[in-house]
Amino acid sequence: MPVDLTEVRALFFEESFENLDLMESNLLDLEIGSLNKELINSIFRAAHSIKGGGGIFKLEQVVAFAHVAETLLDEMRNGEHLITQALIDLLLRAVDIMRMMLSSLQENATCDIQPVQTCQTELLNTLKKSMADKQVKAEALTHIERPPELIPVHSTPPAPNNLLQWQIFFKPHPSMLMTGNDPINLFHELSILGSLDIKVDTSQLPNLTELDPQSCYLSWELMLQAPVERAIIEEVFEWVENECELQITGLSPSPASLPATPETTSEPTSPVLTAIEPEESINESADQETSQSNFEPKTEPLVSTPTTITPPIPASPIHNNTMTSADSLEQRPVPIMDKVQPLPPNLVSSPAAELIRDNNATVIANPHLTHHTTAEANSIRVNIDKIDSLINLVGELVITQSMLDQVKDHWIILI
Amino acid sequence: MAVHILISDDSVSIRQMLKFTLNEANYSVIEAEDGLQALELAKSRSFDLVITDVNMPRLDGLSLVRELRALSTYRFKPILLLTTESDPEKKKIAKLAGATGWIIKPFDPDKLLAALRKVLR
Repeated sequence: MPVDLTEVRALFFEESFENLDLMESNLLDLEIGSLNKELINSIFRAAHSIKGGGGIFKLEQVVAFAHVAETLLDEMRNGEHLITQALIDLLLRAVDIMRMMLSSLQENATCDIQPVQTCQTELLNTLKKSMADKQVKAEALTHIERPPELIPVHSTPPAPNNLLQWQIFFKPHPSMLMTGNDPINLFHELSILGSLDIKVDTSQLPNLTELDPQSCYLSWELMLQAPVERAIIEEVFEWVENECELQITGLSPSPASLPATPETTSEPTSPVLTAIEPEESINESADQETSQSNFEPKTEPLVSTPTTITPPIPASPIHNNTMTSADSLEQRPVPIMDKVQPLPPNLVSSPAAELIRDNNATVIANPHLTHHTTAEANSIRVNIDKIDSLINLVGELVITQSMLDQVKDHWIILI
Repeated sequence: MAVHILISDDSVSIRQMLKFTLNEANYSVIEAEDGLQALELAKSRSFDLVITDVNMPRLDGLSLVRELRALSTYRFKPILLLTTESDPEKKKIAKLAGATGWIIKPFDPDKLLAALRKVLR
């Protein structure tokens, strides 16, 4: 989204000069040998704001310099430095340098790099940190050698070259919903990347009486066809990587099964898939279980989970149940298979089965199901809107429960 | 129906940057200058999303997240931290405090809106 940030940039400079004045004033108020945390915190926040704002406007030199000053201030507030006149003088010089850099940038003038380098080196030499110090030094010196410049705020992502197929197993920990993360939103984000096929596994869903509305019992297997690298997919799950089992497997479909466009591959094609990248698992336990097969070429889709038997997925069902960036989750439900398969006996009397029947969901058409025991046949395909609705209902339950708790507490107080 | 977002940052320019971008994307935005003001605002009305800086006077971002999570209204609401840190340890601390996720500064409008898509429908 192109945004004109000229006014905000002007505001940033104005605010930064105010912050520098504040830093200067607070530094002058510091007493030798006394650790005034409040004052140092205030100086730290000012440097931090300059660094943060500078980063937004890609003022890399300012960011690098402010980062070193901020690191030193962080060490000071942690009591790692004795407050000396030399230290205060050094930071006052750093304030002057930042003021000079910002003035130059504001006026699009050339900045004298020599005093910047000298002061930054002094700051670096004063740092106590060892490992982080080296990193900071390396980063700082990289930035400092560049001339001051303003880089445009917007950059165009590199054009993708190949359509890749990714198999993703996603099993949130029961507590994942409690941090405000919602699987539906993650799937929506994935669907923006390309064509997405979603299968939900409800086998872990308990009876309603045992169901904790604050917990997540579902897991999903996703097939994503998108011209993206693994890192892009991992980024979608970045916020929940420690709150789920996640396996992302790169699959390279045979040429015949690669769609020219999403609409042109409705004919069944070869289900033969080859692993082109070693499977990575963010979850450690899952990683162990799958590690042996990860690095061997596969002629069939990978079986990815100890709890769910993942059937080979022919190309046409994938296509028939796809979402594209044009078809958002809200606009288009995941289509279901035409032919309804009987539910496995272990699901027939469960709430999940009721849900499935009520929502016209179907068990995935899969000839392998007949060869497995019923306990293994627990993957179903459910209209995504219905899952959305289910999660909303669970949310309502939670809210109602909280309200009831509050009412109960109120009555206890009255009694 | 408008989505109401509470942003909390002691930097005026960051707040302006956020507000400008979010308003352009048709979100309704209320600003807070620090964590304490954000907490008061959050108690006075219900926001769909809270975006907060970490380092703020009076009440820092992590403490704000903890305070909000203790309120039934915000128990499951998305709360994003604005941070310059990409250190995994810091991220872990943020998650333990109850943050939904984080936006690494510097961010551009596209990244900001992409982050919002992960928590808002």
